Amino acid sequence: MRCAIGVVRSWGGTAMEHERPATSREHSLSAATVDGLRGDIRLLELNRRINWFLSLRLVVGCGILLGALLALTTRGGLLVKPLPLFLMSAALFIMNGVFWLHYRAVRGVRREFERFRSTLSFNLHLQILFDFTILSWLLVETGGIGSPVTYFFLFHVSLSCLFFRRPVSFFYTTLALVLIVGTQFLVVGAGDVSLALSDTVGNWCTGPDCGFYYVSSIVMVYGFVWYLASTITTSLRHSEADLQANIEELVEIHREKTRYMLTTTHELKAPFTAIHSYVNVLLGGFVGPIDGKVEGILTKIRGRCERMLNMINELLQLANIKNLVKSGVEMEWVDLGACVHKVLERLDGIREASNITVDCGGMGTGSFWIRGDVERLEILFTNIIANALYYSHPGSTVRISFTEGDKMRQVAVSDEGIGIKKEYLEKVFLEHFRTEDAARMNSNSTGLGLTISKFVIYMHQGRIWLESEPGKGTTAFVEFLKERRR
Amino acid sequence: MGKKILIIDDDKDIIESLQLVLVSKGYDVQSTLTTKGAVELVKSITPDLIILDVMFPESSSEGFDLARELSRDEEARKIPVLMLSAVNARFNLGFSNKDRDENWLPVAEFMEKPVQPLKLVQRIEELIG
Repeated sequence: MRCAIGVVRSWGGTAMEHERPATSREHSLSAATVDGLRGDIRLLELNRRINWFLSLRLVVGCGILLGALLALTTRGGLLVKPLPLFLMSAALFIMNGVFWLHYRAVRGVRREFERFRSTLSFNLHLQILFDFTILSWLLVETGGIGSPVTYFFLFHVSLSCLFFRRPVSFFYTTLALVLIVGTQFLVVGAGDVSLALSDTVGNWCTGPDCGFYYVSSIVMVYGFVWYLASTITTSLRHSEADLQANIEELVEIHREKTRYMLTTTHELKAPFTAIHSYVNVLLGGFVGPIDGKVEGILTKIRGRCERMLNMINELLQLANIKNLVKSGVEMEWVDLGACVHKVLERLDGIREASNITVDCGGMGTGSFWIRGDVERLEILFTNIIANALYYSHPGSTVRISFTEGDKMRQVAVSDEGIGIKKEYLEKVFLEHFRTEDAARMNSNSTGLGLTISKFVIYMHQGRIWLESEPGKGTTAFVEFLKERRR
Repeated sequence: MGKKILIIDDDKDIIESLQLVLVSKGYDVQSTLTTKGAVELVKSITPDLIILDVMFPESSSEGFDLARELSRDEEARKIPVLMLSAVNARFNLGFSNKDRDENWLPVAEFMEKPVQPLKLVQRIEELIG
């Protein structure tokens, strides 16, 4: 074994240059999926909508700023005064910033939907009311009800439907209409609004009733948009609540199933443990001497017992790790170099039996860290290094490389063993799957090692994949997110 | 008379196989299949070591509860406990986080079944001689 403490040395995993080895799909679980499994779908949606609201306002702020610049140069033919537009965009940026800071500050309650919603609710009302003030001002600056700004309030009607219940969104729709008509008074002074409108609404009507027709059409548009948006969002909220209830029910069923499976597996383990103990007592000579033939049979019984116990242990491991992917586990800084060395020490008997050389490329301890769960990472490396050792040809070399990328830290375990046919590269990640060649070479294998490894990787939001060429060898790659260590 | 060991396990086959090993090594072995009345039993026979299982029919963490109960008792807390279970301490069989916290678990040793007889004897010798 050549794993002395030294500098980090990167080693490319693909040794065969003339013919590219087959590669399996990368097995990974995105952060969003992990959050979805662990969290509340309504919460995910609320966060998405808030981000959308923040982005939209940023765009609107930029739009007003652009208008101000155009008005300043007078090239765009805009007759609006630039200063109010500058002030409006600045105020909008500041308020959006305040809202964003508040949103970030309440991160602690983001995992509880109702608390999170009620915490943000007051600020959201404040933001919409502020936007209404800005829009009313913009409406005054752009000449009142005939300006296209009249319809800008519709964005907030839709947004209020997304965030609040129907009566609240109806209130905002009514308020928008009151403000639109109200600002017209500011534009035309105390005069007759209807008469003042006659000049602004174009040539499709004349006379004192023209204002009434025009305002009625605006009310109709707002009412129609509110009705559509609120109906869709109410239905969406009900679907989200139903979906969440179904998810919770499924999670509960899964939890029960896992618990039942764990208990049953443990019950299975008990008789094998007792048989193993008795055989050990006999083989240890604790009840008197036994002859060679009996000893041979007892050794075979013990071997089969150990294989069964190994399978039960792996089933327990898999069930626990699957649970942890959903429930989450407290992560700490793990020295992967030390972790791999510990695993190698544990597997030294297997390595020695086949006279295999292990080359860690000089990787020592203390220089390759990731955020993770040390116990499960040891399980992961035990599985992939044991695979490399078991399926290597005697006298060959297993290489373990540690590579640091911009965003990821990668460990690759490469052997010069039997390899895996292309058609089996995906299947080896399935529970209990073993290729015929693998089963022949290692009869004690349970076919669960790579499945367990895949779930350990899911826990860490990393990636795992294989590259292999039959008869030449296999490389198992595992990648973890690179985080800055403080 | 050898040192006294009390085995608390619900599996009588495990008790018997342990007894065969420990008696051959000169220990005086007593046993019980339940944790009920175990504290009183410990106080009455004052063993040098207790070998304790984790899972019992009525609760999957009864062994942990008993270990804590023993650690709270003035007399019983002096006796080392060797926890011997078919389930790994960290497997989530309804155990609380505290159950899985080795620093909090008041036992001298935790060994997973099946255990090699000689390893067990070696560990017992280290604990009580």
